Formats: sequence, structure tokens, C-alpha cells
Amino acid sequence: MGRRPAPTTVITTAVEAVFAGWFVLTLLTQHPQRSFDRLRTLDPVGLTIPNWRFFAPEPATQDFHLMYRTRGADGQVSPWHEASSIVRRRLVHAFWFPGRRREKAFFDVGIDLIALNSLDVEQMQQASSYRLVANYIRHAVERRERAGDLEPGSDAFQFMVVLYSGYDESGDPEYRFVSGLVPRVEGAELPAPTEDQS
Amino acid sequence: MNARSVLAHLPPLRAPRLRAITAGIGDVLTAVSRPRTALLAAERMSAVTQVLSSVEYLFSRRDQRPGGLGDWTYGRSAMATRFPRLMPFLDRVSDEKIDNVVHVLRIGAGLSLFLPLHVTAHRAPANAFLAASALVLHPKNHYGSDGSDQLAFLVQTSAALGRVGRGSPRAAEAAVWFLAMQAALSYSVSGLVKIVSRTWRTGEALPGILRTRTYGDEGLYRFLTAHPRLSRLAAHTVLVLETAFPLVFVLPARAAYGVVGAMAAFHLANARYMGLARFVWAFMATYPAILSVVQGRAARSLTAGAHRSPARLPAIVAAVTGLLAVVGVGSALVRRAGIERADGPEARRHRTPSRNVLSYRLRRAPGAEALPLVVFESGHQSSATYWHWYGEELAGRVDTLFYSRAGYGASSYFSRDSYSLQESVDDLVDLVDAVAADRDVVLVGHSLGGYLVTRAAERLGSRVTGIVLIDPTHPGEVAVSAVQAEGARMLDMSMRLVAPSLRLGLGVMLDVPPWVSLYPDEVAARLRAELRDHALWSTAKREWTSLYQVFRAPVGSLPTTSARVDVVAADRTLREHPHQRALDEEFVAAGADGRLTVVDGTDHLGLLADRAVVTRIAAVVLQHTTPRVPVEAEGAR
Repeated sequence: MGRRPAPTTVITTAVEAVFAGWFVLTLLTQHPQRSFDRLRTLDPVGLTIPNWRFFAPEPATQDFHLMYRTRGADGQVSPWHEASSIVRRRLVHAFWFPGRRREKAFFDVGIDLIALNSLDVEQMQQASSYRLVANYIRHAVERRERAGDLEPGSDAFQFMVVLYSGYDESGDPEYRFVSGLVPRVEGAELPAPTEDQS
Repeated sequence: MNARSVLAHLPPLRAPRLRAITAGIGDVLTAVSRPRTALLAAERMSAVTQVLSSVEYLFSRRDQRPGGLGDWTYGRSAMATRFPRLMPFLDRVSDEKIDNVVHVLRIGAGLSLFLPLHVTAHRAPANAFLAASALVLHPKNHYGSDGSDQLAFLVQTSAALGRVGRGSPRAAEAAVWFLAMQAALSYSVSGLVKIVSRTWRTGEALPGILRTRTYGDEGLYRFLTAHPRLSRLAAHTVLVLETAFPLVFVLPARAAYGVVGAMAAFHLANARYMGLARFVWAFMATYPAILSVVQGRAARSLTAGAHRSPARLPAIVAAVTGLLAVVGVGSALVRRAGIERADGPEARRHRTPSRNVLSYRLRRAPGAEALPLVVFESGHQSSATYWHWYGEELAGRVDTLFYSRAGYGASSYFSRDSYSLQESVDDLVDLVDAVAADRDVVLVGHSLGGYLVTRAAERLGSRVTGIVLIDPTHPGEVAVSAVQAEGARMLDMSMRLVAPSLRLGLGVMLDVPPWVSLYPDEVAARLRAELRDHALWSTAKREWTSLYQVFRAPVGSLPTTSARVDVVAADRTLREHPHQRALDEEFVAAGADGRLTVVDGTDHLGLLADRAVVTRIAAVVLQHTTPRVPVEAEGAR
């Protein structure tokens, strides 16, 4: 005749099982080759299974710059302007750096945009990263127009992701993603034929 | 101010002072060695990360509003496909006002953990709230989130779970072990995955990261480039410390403290030079747990086991991992046996002079004896199975020969010579001679198979009446394209790791590419088994080594042939690698009156896996078996 275990024993055993399972799951999702990440689909939010492969195997050694230019109603194209910004490192960043997430967001979204390169134009334009960045630029253009930095009246813009080697000025910029022409008004038809972007 | 002048300004360190300091540290360490105390320290440090994070979010509201990179209007579309049912809830909490309230509550919960230690009732709910709210906020803050968020979530969840069971010491001890093991895993994984990379081994990675404005620092970057030896030493020290970190669990206590202290200094340096402030708190939150384990071991050795029972969690984890390894290796063996049988009764075997045994299928069509035999050569990393739709499409119309190169599918590699692609060409020629005697042949090759058939055609001579190359590999493609060269370098690295990992039983962990599901279920299952079998990857690696030599050699002209050469390319391949078109045209020009056909809406593997695409390409192949009646490939341009 077996004695029933105390409820706390059952609970603590369950806690141990959760910890053990969680640890093994973490262990199995750290392979240097990301194709072994199959179990990560169990964590669609991307928070519960930690990714310990910091800056590895291949660290990013370039900054991601998001650039854009506008096209006026007369067909005139503005010079390229940077939409992303990176602040210079300061001692205070060791304690307080609210801009860290925005800078990393440019990295993250830049990687997503570059991954769109193999898609057809229509599929590309439907990708959430593409639409998000297009809208980001749309607002950036408006802000500059309001500030008087940019001639108002443009009907479309184009954006691109450029990688550059930061303080090491010996490298050449790499143009890794170039969008099509995006209308200023979301969903609007573009009147003129788009120029060849290749 | 140099190091010497810094030392001059410090008060002399005398022995009594040193003893007082170490005694003080010792007291603190003893205090944190109790699991409950360790959890209190961990949750507080982790709360700093989360409070800081919420304050940061409140300070950067603009990023969440329309036109920001955290604008939920766009971010939600990725989530909507994954969690359709959660969308009403996620939409509601993404409202700015509610988002503000959640962040303020998180700050409150985080600060409440700093109440005096005897105030305990609220702690588990505060831990749970910090963890749950992180989970809810995360989809919205997808871009810009980082490892410190994951770590803080881990610590708060562990602290909550460590308090269940009415203060059972076992739950707290499991939580402490869990955090200590996760921290050790995080360092060692981070180190091991760096060792895999050439960039890290050569020491290029550190100045490479520091030169960026996002994660670097100009002063330190210039200093390290001026002192390359020191730079390499620093990078290698990090590699060694990270990789060897789990040794803290077996090292003498003092040495373990030294390692933990060195990693703390590493995080402080990262905060200063890389701008990673939240990581300091996130990682240090695990240190009380590590120190508790180290101290607990020291205490146990002093009191001969009376103080605490042996840790249960590491034992459970070891048992589960061991069991999974046995299951993994076992299923790898079963998988291998299945692949060897999978070609079925229709398959025959042919031993070539290189000793390799090739499994092949010759399918005859009624009345096609007078037509050429169509021979299919697979690409890199693939077997005869990949041609399934071609078999269906051409059944009853022409005679076909499908086989796997030695090492792929059911074909075995027994050659004792050092491998080069020439051996595969010889095997193919020998198989064609054995199966087709002196009959005419049409050669069809995909990817690397395309390159191989052009070389086999040289040997087979005038019996080759036609060649169809599907997205063929060109020996010059790495030389002309930087992107392909980068791809080749990455492939070179990954090739080395995959086969050993699959031998270790990790096959189930391997993600299978989506095109596999374009095949019928039975074929897809077989492709999955092949992709998760080490043989495919060790064969791929062997071929890759030889192919890489071809790529690096000066590009000569392609072998010319009197046969007509048609090339079929996927539009996405050409879009991704614009140089490829000229190379494809070069293949066409090496033969007689062929042409380049571009198939829209598909990619490199879609040319095999997509039935509708295969129907079009099969029409191109059939032109070669009935050469007098040219047929336009429908829908292609």
C-alpha cells in the first residue's frame, strides 16, 4: 500500500520537471548552424527560449544605414538622406541608453529587408518589414517637409539599406537592399512609370 | 593617465586591509549561498534590467507611434498569422494608454522587489507579473529586443517558480540550479559558437564589432587596431573564459570567484564600450545563483554532506539529455537503414571501377526504344528522389534513368581514392555505358549536376544528342559574384558542422526547407529522412571541397559540345544573382542552337519541387527526344 505523496512534493517535482525541460530545450536550440533551430518554432514570441549565440558565429561588423530619396511631381529626384541615426558612444551609455533599442531596431529590420531580395516585387511590397519601413520613411519625409528641410510636393520616395564599416573608413559602402518607388500616400497609384532600379 | 600613474594614486594595499576585504566578501558570499537569499539577490538585479527597460520605453514613445519602428499597425501583421486568436487581446494592450500603464506597473513591480527582505508575500506575484507582462509586450517590441530581455524573463520566471510549494527548499534549490546552469550554458555556447567562426579565431571579429558605431567605440577601436596583438589576446581571452565558464562548478571556490569576477568585468567593459547597459544587470542577476552553487559545494565538502543533499536538477537534466541522445542516435540508425531500402524493388545497383555502388532506376516507355535515353544528374546535396515529378511527367513518354551519386540516397561511397568531382563524372559515364550500351542519351542536370553533365558529355561524345541544364552551377560564379562568394564561404563553414551533428543524433532538430512539402507525402517523408541523415551532408562536404577548388581555380572556357544545350533558369535565382544570366548564356553558347528559358515565379529548388514548373521544363526535355519538332515552352519567356 503506497502512501500518497504530499501535494507540495507533487508541485515541487513539477517545478523541477519544468526547469529540466526548459533547460534541455535551451540546450537543443543553440547550434551554430541555425538550421538546427527547429524547436524554436515552439516559441513564436521569441522570448522564452533564450538565444545565447551573442555576436556569433559571424558578428555584424558593419552598421546598417537606412537611406531614402524623394521624387518631386516634376520628376526631380532629391539627394539620398539618412533616416537612421546612431549616436556616438558616451560613458553614460553604460548606465542609461534609451536609444539602444532604436539603433538595434535598424539592425533587425535591415536584416529582414535584405532577406526580401529574392522575392517578387509584389510579395516584397506585402512584407510587414517593407511596409513598416515605408511608413517610417513616409513620416520622416513629412517631418523634414514641415521643418522646411525638404521641398514639399513629392509624390513618391525610395529607400535602401546600406552597410558601412563605421569608424573604419577604408571599406566601401555595400548597397544591400533597394526598394521600389513607394507612393507618399499609402496605397496610392503612382502616375509615372517607375524607373529601372537594378 | 597611464596604468603606472593610476597605481601611484592608489593607497598601498597592506595585508590587514586585504584580509578585511576578503573576509567581507566571504560573508556576503556565505549569505547568498542559501538558495532563497540567492533568489532575492537575483530578482533584484534582474528587476533593474526591467525597470530600466520600461523607463526607456516610456522615454521613447515616438518609436511606438505611427511612423515608428514599433508601430503596431505593421508589427501586428506578422503576429496575426501566428496567433489569430490572441489578436484582440494583443491589439488592446498595444494601445498607447494601456501600454503606458503596463510599463508603470512593471516599474512598480520591479521596485517592490527592493522592499526589506522580510517582506515576502508580494514577491512571487511581482515576479510573475514581470515575466507575464514581458511576454505580452514582446510581440510589439519585436524590432530592438535583445538577449537581456530573454535573460530577465528567465530570472523572474525562475524566481516565481522557486517560490511555489509553500516555500519548499527543493523548488528554490531547483530555481537556483536552473539559473546557474543557464548562465553557464549562455557563456559556453557564446564561446563555442565563436570558436566555430574563422572571424573569431583570427581575432578579426573584435575590432570588426568595435569599428561599428552601433556596437563599437571609436577610441577603443583605434587603440585595438594600433595594438593588434593585444586585440587578439583580448578576443582569445574572452573565447576561453566564455567556453570554459562551466568549470566554475568544479574549480576550487577561489578560482571560481576569479572566473565570475572576470566575466563581470567583461560585462562592465561591454556596457562602457558597446552601450550594453541592460546586459550588466541581466547577467549579474544570475551570479548569486552561480555563487550559491559554488558556495553550497564548498559548504558541503566542509560538513561532509550533512548540510545539503546532492543537487537534483543537474542529475535530472543529465538523465534527460542522456536519454534524448540515445533516442537521437537510435533514430539516426533507423533512418539510415530506411534510406538504403527506400529505392524499392524497381532499383538496381551498379558497381563502378571506383568501387562505388550506384542505386539507379531505369524506366522504360512503350515504343521509346528508338528514342534517346534521358539521364538525370542531381545537384549538390541531393539524390534521385528530388527528380520525382520528372519521373511522373515523363512516364510512358521516354525511357528515363534516375540515379543518386555515390553517398546520396541509396548509393554508397566506397572509393579509396581521394575524392574529386572527376570521380563522379567517371561514375556517371560508367553507369551510362553499362545501362545504355551504345544508345544515344540526353543529359539533364540540376545545379552542380548541370556542371557534371557538361563534363560527362565531353567523354560520352556524339552519343549525347541533347543537354538540358537546370539552374546549372558555373565554375566562374564565385569569381564574378561577391554575394555568391560570401555564400560559398558560409557554406564551407556549415558543411563541416552538419554531418557530425547528425551523427550525434540531432537530426530531429534540423529544420527542413519548405519546398519539401511540395512533393507527395511519401516522397516528402523520404526527402526529410535524407536531409536528416549524415551521409547526405558528408557527401555534400566531400563534393564541396572539390567544387571549392574548381571555384578558386582560374576560370577557363567551358567544354564545348556538338549537342544542343538548353538552359532553364529560375527568375529568383537570376534576381538574387544578376551575374548568373551571363554565365547561363555561356553554357548555351558552348553547345549548338540552344536557348535560355527563364521560368517566372520560382526558385532554385522550385525547378524540381513545383509540379507546374516541372511540366514546363519536361516540355523542354522532350524537345530533345523529338528533335525535329521544336515546341515552345508554355508560359516561359
